[in-house]
Amino acid sequence: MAWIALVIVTLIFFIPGIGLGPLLAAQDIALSVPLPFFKFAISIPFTGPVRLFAVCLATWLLLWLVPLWLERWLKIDFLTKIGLHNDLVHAYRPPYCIKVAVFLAKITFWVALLKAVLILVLRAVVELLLPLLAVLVGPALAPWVSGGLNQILGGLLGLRADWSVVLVVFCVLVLIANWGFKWEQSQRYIRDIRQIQFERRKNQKDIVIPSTQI
Amino acid sequence: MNSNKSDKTDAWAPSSTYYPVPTLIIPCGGDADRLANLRYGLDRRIGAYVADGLVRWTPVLNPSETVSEAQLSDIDFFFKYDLRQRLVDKGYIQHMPDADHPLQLQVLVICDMIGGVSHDAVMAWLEKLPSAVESKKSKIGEQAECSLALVILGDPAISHDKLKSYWPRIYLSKTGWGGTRFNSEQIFQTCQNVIAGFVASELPRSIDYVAGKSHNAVQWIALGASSVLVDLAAVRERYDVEVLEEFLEPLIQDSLTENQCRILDDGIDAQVHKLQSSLLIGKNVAGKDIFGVKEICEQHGWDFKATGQVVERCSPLPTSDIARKGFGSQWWLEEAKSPVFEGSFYRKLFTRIKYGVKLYVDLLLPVPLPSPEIFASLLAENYRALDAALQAGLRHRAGLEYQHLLDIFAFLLNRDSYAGENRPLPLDPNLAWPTGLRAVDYAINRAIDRLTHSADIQYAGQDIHIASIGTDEYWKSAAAEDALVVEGALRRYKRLDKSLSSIWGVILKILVAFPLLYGLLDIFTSWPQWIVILLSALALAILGLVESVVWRLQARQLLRQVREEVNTCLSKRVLSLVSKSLYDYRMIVISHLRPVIGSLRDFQALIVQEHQKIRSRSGEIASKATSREDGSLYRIVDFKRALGTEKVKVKDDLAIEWEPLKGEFAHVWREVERDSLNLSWKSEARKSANVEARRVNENFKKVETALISKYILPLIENPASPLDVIRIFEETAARWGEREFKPRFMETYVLAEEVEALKEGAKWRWLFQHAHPLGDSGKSKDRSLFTVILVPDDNSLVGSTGRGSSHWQSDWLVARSRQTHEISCIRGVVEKSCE
Repeated sequence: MAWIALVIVTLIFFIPGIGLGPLLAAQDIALSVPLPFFKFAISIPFTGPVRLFAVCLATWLLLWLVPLWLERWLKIDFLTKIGLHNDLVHAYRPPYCIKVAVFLAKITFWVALLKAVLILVLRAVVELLLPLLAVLVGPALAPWVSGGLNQILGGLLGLRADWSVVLVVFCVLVLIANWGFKWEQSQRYIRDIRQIQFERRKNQKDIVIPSTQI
Repeated sequence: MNSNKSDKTDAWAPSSTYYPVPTLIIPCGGDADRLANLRYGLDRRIGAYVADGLVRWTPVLNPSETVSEAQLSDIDFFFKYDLRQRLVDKGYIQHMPDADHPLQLQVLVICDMIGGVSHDAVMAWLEKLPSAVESKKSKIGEQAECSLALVILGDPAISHDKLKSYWPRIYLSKTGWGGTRFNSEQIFQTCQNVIAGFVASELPRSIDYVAGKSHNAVQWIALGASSVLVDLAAVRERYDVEVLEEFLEPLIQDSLTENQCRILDDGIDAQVHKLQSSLLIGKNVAGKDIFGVKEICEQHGWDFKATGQVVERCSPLPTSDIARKGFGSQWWLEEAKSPVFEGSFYRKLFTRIKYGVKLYVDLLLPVPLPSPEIFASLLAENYRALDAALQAGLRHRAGLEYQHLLDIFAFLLNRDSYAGENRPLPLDPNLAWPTGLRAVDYAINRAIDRLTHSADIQYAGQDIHIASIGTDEYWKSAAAEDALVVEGALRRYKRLDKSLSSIWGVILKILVAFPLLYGLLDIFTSWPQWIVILLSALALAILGLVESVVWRLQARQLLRQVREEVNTCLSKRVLSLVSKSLYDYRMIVISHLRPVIGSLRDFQALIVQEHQKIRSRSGEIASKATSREDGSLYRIVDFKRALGTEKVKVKDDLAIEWEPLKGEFAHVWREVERDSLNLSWKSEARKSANVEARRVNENFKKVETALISKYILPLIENPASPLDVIRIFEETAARWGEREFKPRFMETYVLAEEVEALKEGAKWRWLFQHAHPLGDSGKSKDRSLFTVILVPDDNSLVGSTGRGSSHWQSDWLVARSRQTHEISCIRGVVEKSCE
């Protein structure tokens, strides 16, 4: 159910062009400070993505845990009912298709992390080390170095900035959902094994050998 | 010596018809063996008279001085009415005795004085015998003329005065006429001739004539007697043996040659192979379909296909219970068959695309798998039913095929016999099949060998294990074992199938990857968004599709292997059932064939044994009983008419004349006067038997063909003791031998012409010389010699070999005899007293 919930969340929030994810991520939470003469509002950076992550996570958990609870309560297996039990519990082939989402999520996550680190490093260089550099290399080279670094930084910041944030959120969600999926898969696998063992035990016949024949 | 014989011959004339006189022979003496030998020799000549009651034989050993009642008890016998009636009926006597025709009776007393008996006792007994006979006759009260004749073997040394009641008084002594010495054997042989003359000829009358009217003047008559006779008993014995040999000889065959063995090997191998193959497929017999293995298997849900004995396929039919209920799908067993691509180019293209899409769609769809739980019970039921059906269904076929084998053996036993049954020939008649008992023996052995050592079916070059048991429990355990094999094979596929995600599972996984791939591409490229979306979607779709198809193909490959294993397992089991039924059938056929071969071998051994026995018996008779001289007896036992003088193959001109013997060897004799070749009687017997056989059935060209058809062919179908068959051969040979045996042609004077020592009238000389009188007392001064020739008719006296012969003497008397196969000569010396 974890993966199905993830698929639903993906369909709602992360399908390119129609998903609600970018919209939510773009709306940072604005902190309004009521003053006597005017209203002062400060937009808190990164709150949009955080809210997106929170909404997605909550939706995913809701979609995962509620059916899971219902399954236990009703003692039915929704996956079997919809014919996806084998696909989501036992199947591990075709291997690339099955692993491609998690694989892409990890790559994307590391790419996004690298991007963030680069931005931080470049900003620190531009803002703190550049004046010192001007003293060291001379005023003639300082504008050239500064211009180059700002250009790279601008490039990094301008690289689909809106999608990147949503992508990072999605990656994190996929990785979390994958963890939940693995946990659920192992639980269901164990349950299947127990069921098989139970069935076998039920079909076993007790053979009583009279003591006289021993 | 005086000779006054010529004055009497003119008045003598033999009777036109001679009627013998009932005779009581009373041999008396001290040596029982000699008397028994005398009886034995006489039986071969006058046995018929004894059997008919004309002659009675009452031996008296060591006679005492009195004549007992028992010694004359046989006289009563001659007075019995029914005997007299029988004698009239048989033509021995002319009338029933009455007042005008009193019963004629003669008592011939043979007195052996050589055997050391007491002369006095014998004399006393001889003196009292006439009165005892007279007294007996009076007691009976019938009117009869009874004569008493006496033959003394040895020197009489008795006064004839006391024996005047006897007439004639004959003696045969060791000292013959002119002083010639004779031994006791010669005396007894002469005595045999004399007795035969007394019983069956006019000898008594001729002696009466020679001796004249004054019997009292005659003291003794010394006689010599010789005979040339056709020994009917010996002739018949040899003839019968040789006729039987003629009948049995065609059945005796040499061992088969290497080439004949090869022909039989090839023929029987092909027939056994054909027989085994033919059981696998159905057959239409007289418009009725009779199932073979294929049809029985198909009825029970198995697709069975075989070429010859090689089984190409044996798998569950898609419509069978095993396929439908056990495997649950036709598809599981049968790959989607390629459609027929025909019609226009576009139509073919459309069909191809449709087929390709179907293949791939089918590939991606889940495969329904059998449920092994009910599989074992389905298999057990199927095996049991199939086994029962095979046992019942093949029994009839096996019977038919066994019959076909028997037909082949019958054909090999005798082609003509088989053809006579109006059945289609089971083998190519144009081939030179060896036939006969040896060929059948070899063929049956070969068939048993092939049936024992050749497998009934072959499957994929593997040996088929024969199901040794056929109980329900066995089928259950076999089905359980097979179900386990099926389950194990399926488990391998299931394991792979379970690890494969369905297309929906793949879509779920790819769907999550889509935004991520899009994001990555979007980060690193500056392409328009729709291109990036399209590229991402396409890349993931291709990845999913290609990887799914690759794994599905691998799964399908594994499924094919699994199906192959399951098919092989089930096929082997079904074929083991089939093999069991076929093996049972083979064993039944072999068990039926063994008694057949036993019967035929017994018959063959008996035939060989019988033939050898006949050959040795024939040789024994031939060596013992060829024409030969025994003192005063010349026996003719071998003559060309009966047995032939040479053996010729009947072909060309002879085959036209003796068509029924065409191709056979016949025993013939040449008639020089007419320059012709004649069949011997024994070959005539075979010829007549062949004609009779052909009359019964035109295909039966030889007598043994008819007998084989009637008596030996049934041995093949119903083995029984062959002793009866041998008996049938003996009876048939005896019947035809009897029919062709012509005693009327066995005239002594004719057959004597075939004997060097007797031909051209020399028989008269031989007879005269060997009838030298056995007596010369020298006491009488008045002695007269006479010679009487006893012949059955005048035929022997005609022509240059008869009275016209230089060996014939004019003073010989001729007397009539009833011995149709004898010519005898009696020479005597009448010794008269000189009163």
